[in-house]
Amino acid sequence: MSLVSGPGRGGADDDKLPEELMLSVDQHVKYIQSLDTRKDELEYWLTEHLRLNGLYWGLTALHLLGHPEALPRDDVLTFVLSCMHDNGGFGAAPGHDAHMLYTVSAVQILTTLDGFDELEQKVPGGKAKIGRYIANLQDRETGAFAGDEWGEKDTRFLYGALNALSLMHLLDAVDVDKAVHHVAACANFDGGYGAGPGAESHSGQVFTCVGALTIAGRSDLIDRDRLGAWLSERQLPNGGLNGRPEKLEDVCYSWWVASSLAMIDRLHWISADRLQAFILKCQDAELGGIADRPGDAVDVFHTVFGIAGLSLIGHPGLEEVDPAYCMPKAVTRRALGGR
Amino acid sequence: MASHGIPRVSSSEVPTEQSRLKEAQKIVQYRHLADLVNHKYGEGQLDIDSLSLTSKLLTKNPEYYSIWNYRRRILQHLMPNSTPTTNSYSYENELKFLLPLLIQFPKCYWIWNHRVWVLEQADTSLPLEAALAFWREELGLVSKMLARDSRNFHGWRYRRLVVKHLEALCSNHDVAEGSSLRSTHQIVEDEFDYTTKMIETNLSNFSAWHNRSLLIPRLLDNRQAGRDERKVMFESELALIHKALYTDPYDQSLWYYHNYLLQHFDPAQQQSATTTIYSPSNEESIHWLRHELDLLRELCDDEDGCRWIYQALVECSTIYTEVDRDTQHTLTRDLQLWLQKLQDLDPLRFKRWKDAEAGLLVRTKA
Ligand SMILES: [Zn+2]
Repeated sequence: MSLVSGPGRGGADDDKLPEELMLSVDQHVKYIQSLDTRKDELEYWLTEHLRLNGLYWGLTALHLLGHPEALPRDDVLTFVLSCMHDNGGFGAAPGHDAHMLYTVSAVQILTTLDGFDELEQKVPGGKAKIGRYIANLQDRETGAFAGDEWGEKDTRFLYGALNALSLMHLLDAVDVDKAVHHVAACANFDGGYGAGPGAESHSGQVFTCVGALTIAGRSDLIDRDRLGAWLSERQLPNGGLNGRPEKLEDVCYSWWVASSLAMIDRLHWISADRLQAFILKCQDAELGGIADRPGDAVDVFHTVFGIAGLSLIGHPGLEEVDPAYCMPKAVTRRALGGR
Repeated sequence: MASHGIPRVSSSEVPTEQSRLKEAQKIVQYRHLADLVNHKYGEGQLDIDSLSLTSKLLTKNPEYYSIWNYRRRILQHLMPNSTPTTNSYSYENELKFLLPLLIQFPKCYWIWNHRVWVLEQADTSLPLEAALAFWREELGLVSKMLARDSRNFHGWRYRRLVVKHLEALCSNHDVAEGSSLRSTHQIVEDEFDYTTKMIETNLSNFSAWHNRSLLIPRLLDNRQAGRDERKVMFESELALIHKALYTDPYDQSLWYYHNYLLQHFDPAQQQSATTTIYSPSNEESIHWLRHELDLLRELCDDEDGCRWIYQALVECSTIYTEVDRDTQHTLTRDLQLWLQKLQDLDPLRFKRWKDAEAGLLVRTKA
């Protein structure tokens, strides 16, 4: 197996040197800083539809790593605001259509950088506009949320809506009770949640549903023991976590599973040591970045979710992460006030 | 930017001048095409040439969601509510364009979404028979997709959506003809048979077990089944899962479904008609639970190292003590032993079993 991709890096056997348990902080910072300079790679252009998400992932990773200044604040804000549409929604990059997924990333970045004054300067009434864009995507009958005007519904969008609106103190703009009711209808017999009523349980969707209920203050509706059991079964002998029964482990599930366990006070039901060892095996200690599995190509998506997972289980030297928002706890505390 | 399963390239592999040039050329071509399409989108051009350009771009990059939006605007313009024969571009054309993309990118949300959108357009603008034919074809397509990857999340979700649409169309259809609702019911029966087929092919297909748990209560409702028929169904599901567990007691998909059946005995579990096969009486629950415990102990003798059996023993006897309080002190000692066994067998979840043991002690004292 071609898992080993360089001396001292991922994929080698157990019994490693203690350095194997060290997070390569400087390399990860450099890796994230380098992301916008890779314009000579086709991949850079093919992933333009993820640019604003990517910025949120990179920025959050840097904050958790304790290097919040590593991306210039003004440049980030200028880029974010250049993605905004007249209707209050944001696209993935300038010229891309507005969609819930990018609007949420924009709000998360604006919150992290405390940039709402800059927003109001450029777009007077901008915050209220964003709130209206999101509120208009709620189906007032079912409580569910669409991703954009084309109407696809998914608990990912509902979660995003509650996440962004709560950060802006605009939750009143939507019918939270109906949204909560919809999430409750997505629960399955195994204790997990799906993308909609009747959809199979999936760790990513569990995160969005548990996150939405937590933000709405209705985690009392969760069957904690049953869900906790299902989530804890996601840990495999190699320490990694999977998304569904009988699937492979993947670093991004470190976040979705572990944060959900944290929100229902069951994080101790998995082995933090083994999870930590797995995530660290997935990092590229030489060039920075974290991959889905040991020896695979790194990307900023798995980098932030790996680091956030490590923060959750208390890896030394990292800023504390908020499990419901995937943002630094210091930031959500400031934005939400005393949370 | 979010890659899965792509091997890391070693830092010592410096790209050659030739490969660098080739990459640069590809970037120029791609950006030229993207700029051209975006320019046309900005100008609001909704002609067939623009449509072909979006085809070209989306084939290179199906994640480019804005271009799917543009494409829908073009299609809305090209395919208004007129008969399809008068148009040079049809729903068939669009579905055919999407097929190879779906096969190549089965996990791309936007392609699945777009396909649903196209079919919904056909719904509103074509005669019922024609629309029905489209949706029926989809069932065949998604079966092929699931034959390639039997756990594809999008595939199963799409399947349930297609079935929902077919049911809605059929019931309208039947009402119009004044006949019974048989065909709607037939769809649910067929879907149930499909899950049986998928499970027979591969026991470990949790997606199929999950769908089965949703279909059975609906199927019984459709049949207007009484208690006897429901009981027969419940017993046959128990028999099916027992057979499967004897085949592979290490398969967690099976244990989840087993757990779903066990929940039927649990008085603490809120029973709702949409998730329940049968509501057993207290005596029936006790009878079945006793049988279940015997069977699990037997399984345990053969497979002493299988933690799933101990988990099921814990679950089963916990419910048993709820149903029949008299069993509490006889089962408590066993429960404690099984929970300790789980702490040994399952070190990853050690603290979960510790919590369960502590909970047991609290319950027995109360
Ligand atoms: Zn992943």
